[in-house]
Amino acid sequence: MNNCFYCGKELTEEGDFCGNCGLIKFYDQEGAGKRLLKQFKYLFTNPVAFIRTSKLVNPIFTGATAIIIILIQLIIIKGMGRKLHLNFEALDTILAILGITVVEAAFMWIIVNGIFKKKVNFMSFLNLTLSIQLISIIINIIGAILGVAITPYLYTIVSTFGAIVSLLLMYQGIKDFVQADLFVYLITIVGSFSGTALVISIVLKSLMRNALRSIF
Amino acid sequence: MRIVEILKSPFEGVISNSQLKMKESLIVNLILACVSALAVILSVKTLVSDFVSGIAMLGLGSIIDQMMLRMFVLLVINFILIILVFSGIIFIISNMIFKLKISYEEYVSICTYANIIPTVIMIAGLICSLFSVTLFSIVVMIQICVLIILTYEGLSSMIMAGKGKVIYSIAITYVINAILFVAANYYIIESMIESRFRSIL
Repeated sequence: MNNCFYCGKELTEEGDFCGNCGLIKFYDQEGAGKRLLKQFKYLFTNPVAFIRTSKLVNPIFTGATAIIIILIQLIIIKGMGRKLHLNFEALDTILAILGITVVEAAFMWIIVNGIFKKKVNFMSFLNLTLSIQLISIIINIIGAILGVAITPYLYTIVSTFGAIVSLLLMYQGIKDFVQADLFVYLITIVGSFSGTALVISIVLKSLMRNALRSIF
Repeated sequence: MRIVEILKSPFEGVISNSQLKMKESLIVNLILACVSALAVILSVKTLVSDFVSGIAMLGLGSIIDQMMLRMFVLLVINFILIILVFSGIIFIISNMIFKLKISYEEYVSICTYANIIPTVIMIAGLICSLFSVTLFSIVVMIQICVLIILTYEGLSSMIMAGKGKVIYSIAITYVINAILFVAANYYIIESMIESRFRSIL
């Protein structure tokens, strides 16, 4: 009786959340803040479900996630960067994280829509990469606190753990979004990663060339 | 004959296979470890000889040549042990935390089977290392991603728990594995290099 209006399956998990397509049923009297809270509640209880909810196109969610990522990154770099031996400027790091997110989402969108002809919105890929960054940066700040308290090696170990978790979550998210076979998911992930790495190396090379020119 | 069939089947669309016997998976492991150790040694040799040609007078190239056989044996033992230890840790986790009764043999078979396609990618990386270092590192990154994803795909079909828990336990296993092997290899290689320098001086 209580069916999801998007995919038609029966709603599970407290009657508000569709486990199949990740749609949350919002009520009309709920404001934007309450909707955000409802969506972020799944971040801690069930990360895979939280990844699924990012298929919703919701600019407020995108903006809120980006702001939280920037704030946590600022705390890590400004507050604990010296003790963890991180020699980054805060602005550079934030620009790099946001740039990587957008480029990765763009590559995924191009591959899925252009090559495999599946209709998925660009904003849902952007939301996917942003929410994965959010999870990995929460793991990172736990690692940074441990690293300041005990030893900086723990920060490296915990951030490696976060990287593997975010890779697997991205795989699971693409699997839920696209719904094809393993080959398609692998090509999408590998293509977006290597494309991003190529773009970054090209940008770095041009930046380095300018820096070298200014030295000599 | 059966080994060839096992090596061919991932390219015919079979994603995961938990039915290998212990002997078969060990033989497949040995073949894959030999191939990937050869690929690593050859690519390191071309990369290092490009890199070192400027400072060849130090004699670093000849030291690398002399240590080639030892490095090969070390890498083969490493690549076999990585899979065995990985499946051992995930076996312990699934028996202690998830309370599942799945035998060690099946985990070894899943991890071995997931390692076939990444080894083929590694051979492609060997060819790329002839051209540029950037391309080689991208191919190595792709290999690691594909290995992790295939392992996850195989294990998530066996471990009946929430997907989040499976993801976290796989990530913890990889981290523990990496720490163990980095520490062990660091001590072995350091003692090797130390004895060599002692014989030179």
